[in-house]
Amino acid sequence: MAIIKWIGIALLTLVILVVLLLALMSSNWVRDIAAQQISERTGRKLTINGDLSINWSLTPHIRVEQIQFENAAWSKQPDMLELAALDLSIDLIELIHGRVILPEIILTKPNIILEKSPNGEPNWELPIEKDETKERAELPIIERLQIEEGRLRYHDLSANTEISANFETAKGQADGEEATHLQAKGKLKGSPLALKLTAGPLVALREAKAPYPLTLDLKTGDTAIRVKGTVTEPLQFKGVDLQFAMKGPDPEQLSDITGLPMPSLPPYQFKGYLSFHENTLQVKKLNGRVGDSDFAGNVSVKIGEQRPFIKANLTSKKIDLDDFGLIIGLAPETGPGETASAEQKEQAKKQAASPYVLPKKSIKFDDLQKINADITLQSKHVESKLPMDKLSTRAIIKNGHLILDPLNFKIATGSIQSNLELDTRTKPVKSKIETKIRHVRLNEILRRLKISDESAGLIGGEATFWFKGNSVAEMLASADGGLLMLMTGGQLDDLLVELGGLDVGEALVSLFDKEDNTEINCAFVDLPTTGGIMEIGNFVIDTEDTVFFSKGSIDFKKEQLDLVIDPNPKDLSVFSARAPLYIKGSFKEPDFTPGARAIVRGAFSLALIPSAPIVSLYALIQEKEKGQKDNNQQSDRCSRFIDTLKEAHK
Amino acid sequence: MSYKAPPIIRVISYLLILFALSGCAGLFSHEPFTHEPLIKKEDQEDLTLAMQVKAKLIETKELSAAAIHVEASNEVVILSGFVETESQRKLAGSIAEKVPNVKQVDNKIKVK
Repeated sequence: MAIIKWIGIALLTLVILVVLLLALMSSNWVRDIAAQQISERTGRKLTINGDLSINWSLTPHIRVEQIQFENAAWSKQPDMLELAALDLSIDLIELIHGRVILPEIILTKPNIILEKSPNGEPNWELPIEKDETKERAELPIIERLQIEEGRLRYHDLSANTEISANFETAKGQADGEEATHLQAKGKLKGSPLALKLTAGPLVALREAKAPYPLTLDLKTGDTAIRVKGTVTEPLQFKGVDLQFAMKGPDPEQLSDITGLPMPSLPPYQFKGYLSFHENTLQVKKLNGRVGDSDFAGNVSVKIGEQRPFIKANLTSKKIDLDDFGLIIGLAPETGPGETASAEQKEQAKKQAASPYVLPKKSIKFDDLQKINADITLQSKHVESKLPMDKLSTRAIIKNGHLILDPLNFKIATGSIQSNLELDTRTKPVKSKIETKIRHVRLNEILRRLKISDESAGLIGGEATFWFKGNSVAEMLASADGGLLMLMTGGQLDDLLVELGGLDVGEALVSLFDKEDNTEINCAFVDLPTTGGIMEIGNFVIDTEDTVFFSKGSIDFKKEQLDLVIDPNPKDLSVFSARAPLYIKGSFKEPDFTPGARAIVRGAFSLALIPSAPIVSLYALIQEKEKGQKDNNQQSDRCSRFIDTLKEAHK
Repeated sequence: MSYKAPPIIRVISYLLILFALSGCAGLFSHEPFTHEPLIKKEDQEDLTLAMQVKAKLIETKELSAAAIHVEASNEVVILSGFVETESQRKLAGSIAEKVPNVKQVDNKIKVK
């Protein structure tokens, strides 16, 4: 049907032209007829106040002055389009052959106002010809389009967006080629926007074969994007070959421009190559950094379905974990050598001032419902409180469900393997994490933390937790599950101070004597957790001459500690005045108080410690990567302890 | 955050030590200790039993033993905590039953 209509329009145009030819003497009458025709067809008034003049030749030149096209009724601006003058020439010989060829069109001072009403109704949607917009219109061929002093205003009241642009065509200085320039300024969803576009001649937009050159510079706030390259068949957006570079303080600010939800991260910069094929935007040779982490790889975004599908394959030389804390509501570190935006530094200050440690800020879980994704990431090195060698992870997001599996870190011969599941469709969000710590060598960690600890040992264990909540604080306050850990080797005093991140200083004096051998033979921790309260189920640290126990609880709801570490000398003949150490108070500022007791008590019986779970867990942590030999002679510390326990039970 | 014992406390501590030494209070007497050990002797058997059950759970690959809590009282084992599926809950229960000296298993594990 549309074709018939278009034939109709073409015929109408012809009729008008014929009339135009005949009515040589009264062109203003033609002007009025044409204006009336368009007014009737669009339901908006087209007025031509100026004269219509025709300069006759085989390609007659027509000039129409002062054209105004009425705006939608709801708008404050009376006209949607104003044109000081329209100049066009028609090739009459081609017209006789049935083709409409316009060798030249000149638009002088076009002033276009595009608006969206507060209800999101666009002013450019006219009540007519709705079904025709689907078909590709056979527009006349324009050989040269020239625009002088064009102005365009885009105003979207529903999205706090207001952009005004100047555009014109001009001859390029270097090659004499016609180029299109567009400069825009305004605000996009409230944030300032500046855009500069230099592109090929406008008529080339319809030419299929020649690649259409364009250079785009876009700035919104501190975000800067530059795109340069060519597009073939630009109206269909088919052959895209563009190079891009971008940088900004936080990728989240790109969400409005890209239409994809972006996480909040530290300052970033990226470059790569863009192409577009069959609804899929490809980013190849992506290279850049976020905060202090680097990334490289390929990303594709498939659009056109209910949710965009992002597929990414990324590698990294170094990931700094604190760069990603923002996602869960933690500010990045702001010390020397760290990268953070001004806003993020502010957040870090607030965080330091808060009496709580756990981030209370809601995680933007809803964003996970807007996209589907399959992202793999391999990193050679991970920078965190616990320096690690390797990160290997795959994230699958499907219909609001996130699975991180695997989420594996490696430390020398050992590994920390996790998988995380998150369902954003439930309110509050339900999640689950399972972690297995296998064969992690203590001296590797300590060496990286620059603690000289000659004693070798192993850490192993496992943890499973279920959470319900929208922020880390809420999640931990609802934690159900538990943690089991076994450790051999290491200096207990060093560990408490360094691994615990506690500067407990002289409080430790109450636990140890100077002469004490604080080298750990074996430590076993079992922390059953229900409703955000972690009970110290079993906590045993065996050193050469003392067995340490702990009891108490860690309350994640109130961020409160209530623990006691109790040293029990094995040998009564060694006089000891050591007192238990009470750890109470908030996570942020715990109090370490030595107990008042300083009176000698009896030797501790090893028979009180059951050996069974230690044996089982010990077998598990011995598991290591295939093909790796354990040349660690001291790794039998726990088995020695177990033997002693078994002996004691006889 | 660093804790520094005020000098007065240190002095008192030393005095106490001296006092304890001079009186030889604990060294040669068999009086009960002034400090209760965290694990009491009378609970020892129950604790050992609970830990044996826990050990078996750790060895079971199908279960996440960290999230299963085990207690024992007079040879009755109380399982609590959390598992993912009903069959895991049953499995944990039957593993506990097979441990020697377990009279009864009270399976209070919740399925997530």
